[in-house]
Amino acid sequence: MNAMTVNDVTKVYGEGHTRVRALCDASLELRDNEFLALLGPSGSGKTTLLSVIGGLLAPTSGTVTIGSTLLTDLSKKDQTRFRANRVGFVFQGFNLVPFLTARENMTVMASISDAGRDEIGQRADQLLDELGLSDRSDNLPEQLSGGERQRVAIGRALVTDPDLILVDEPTASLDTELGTQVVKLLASEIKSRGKAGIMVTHDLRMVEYTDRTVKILDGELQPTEKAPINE
Amino acid sequence: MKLALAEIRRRRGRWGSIIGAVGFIVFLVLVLAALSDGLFIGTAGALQTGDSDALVYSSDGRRSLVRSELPLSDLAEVAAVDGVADVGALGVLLATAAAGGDAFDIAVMGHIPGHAGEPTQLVEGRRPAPDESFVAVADVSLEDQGISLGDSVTLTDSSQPVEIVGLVENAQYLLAPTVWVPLGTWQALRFELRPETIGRGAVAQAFPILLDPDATVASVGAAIDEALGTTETVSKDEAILSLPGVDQQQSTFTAIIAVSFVVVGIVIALFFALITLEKRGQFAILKAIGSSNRFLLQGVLVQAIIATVAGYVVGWGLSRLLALVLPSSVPVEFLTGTALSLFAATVVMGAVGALFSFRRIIRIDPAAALGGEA
Repeated sequence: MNAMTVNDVTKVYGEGHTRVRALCDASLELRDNEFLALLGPSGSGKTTLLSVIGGLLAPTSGTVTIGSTLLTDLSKKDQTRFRANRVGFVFQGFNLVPFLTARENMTVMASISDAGRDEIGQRADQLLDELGLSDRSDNLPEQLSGGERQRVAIGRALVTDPDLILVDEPTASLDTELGTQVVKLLASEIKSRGKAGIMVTHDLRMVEYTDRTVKILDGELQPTEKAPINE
Repeated sequence: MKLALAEIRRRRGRWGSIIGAVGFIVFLVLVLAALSDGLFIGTAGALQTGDSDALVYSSDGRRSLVRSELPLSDLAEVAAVDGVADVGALGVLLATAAAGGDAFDIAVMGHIPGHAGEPTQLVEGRRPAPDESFVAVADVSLEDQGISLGDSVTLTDSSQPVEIVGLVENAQYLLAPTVWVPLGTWQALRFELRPETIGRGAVAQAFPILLDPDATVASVGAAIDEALGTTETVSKDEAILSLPGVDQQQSTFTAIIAVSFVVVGIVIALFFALITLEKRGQFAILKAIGSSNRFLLQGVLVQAIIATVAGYVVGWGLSRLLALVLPSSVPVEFLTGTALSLFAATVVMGAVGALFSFRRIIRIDPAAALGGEA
């Protein structure tokens, strides 16, 4: 079974003169334990595709299946719940809750998802350790460096033990060195947990840490296998 | 809930200012309410704390203690009406008295000790016996004129001093201190000060009545008015509202207080509108990672309630401080009942104010979290 399947997804914004086709018959399969890079210039539709995959945006036509769930068939409410429990997000910029500490930014998921408080707490401590943030766990985001903040965001995405990790330009606010570190860490966290992940980026240098790269241009996917996947 | 609380705890400056703002409005409202209550008790205390359910006036008296006059011979007839548990008599004599050279207004209240209409809140001393003469329980406000328990008061143009044997609270009449004398003494003083009333014989100005437990003012009042033919019986509340100025005072203060509550609602609404606008990105992120609208709205509601409860505590504290330093000549009454209803109103207005930001929060699009828009 695929971790995720996008089937013939088209997304059209606006009507008449202002009609913009952001995605055009996009189809994509993501295997279990696969980390995929979605590479494209700005305006190529990569963020739109990620939003559709995450259930944040309804496609004009086509379907998205995550695991065995047909996401595009769920109600908005159920999609929200699905995101809380099964999808992890890492956003561009840092987007932590500014008045919560590093650890609280992860454990807040206990209030949002269905996972138990103890379970989330244990996983948060383990993630803080793995992400090298153990001694920063009580710091507020404003007391953390950019790299540390993005590591907290990675921890928040993983703390619910989701099936799919969606990553939006994780290096946008970081310099190359820090960006590389963060993506390497992200890749190893995703791989070591046997998760599937999609990372949207326009930075070719980040591609080498992923299993496969799919290019997107003007809303159309142009698959370019980087390496064969071992199954 | 945890998220909402953490925000208040870690953003103390911002939440402190909203709590302070609500606090000052609550302070204003509490002081206004205390002035209103003080004025009300000062004006109507004699009736309000008097032991009665309704008052019988003469029909030409237009519900005025001063204009109304009833012959005492009607008492028995009123007492005989079904549903009347007890009947008393009330007379008012507005006079002046002098203490230490300064003249002041005083209301001499004639009543029948032990019967309906007598003041209830005795704090010191004793009540006059029905057959005693020239003794009185006085409202404690008389002490402001330097007259204490055991002293005597002599009315201007009267030769007979009245001895104060007891003190009651909250029994002023039209902002004047009262002395409550047995009806016979009142009659004697009235003849002395208002000789033109001598020809009218033994009268009272109203009959306060107490009802049987299952009787209503409307039915018993109608029965009394029909039996006597010359009376108008009204409930105690109506009688109070008919006192000069009471209705106007009440509606003025009620309007000011109501407007202040609208202001509480607006302040909270604006505050949440502002922070909602500022937190759009954060709300979008929280929605994207799976927060339901319900979770976010609950948080806002909890915050609004905390801000108003804390604001109320601040305002209440300030009003207590003010009460400590206010001179006793300012008629303020900080009543627990008023404080509790104002508390409820404050919290409700806070919640209503927060509701205005709900639609805005619901409409925030989680998709804004991606693509660096948030």
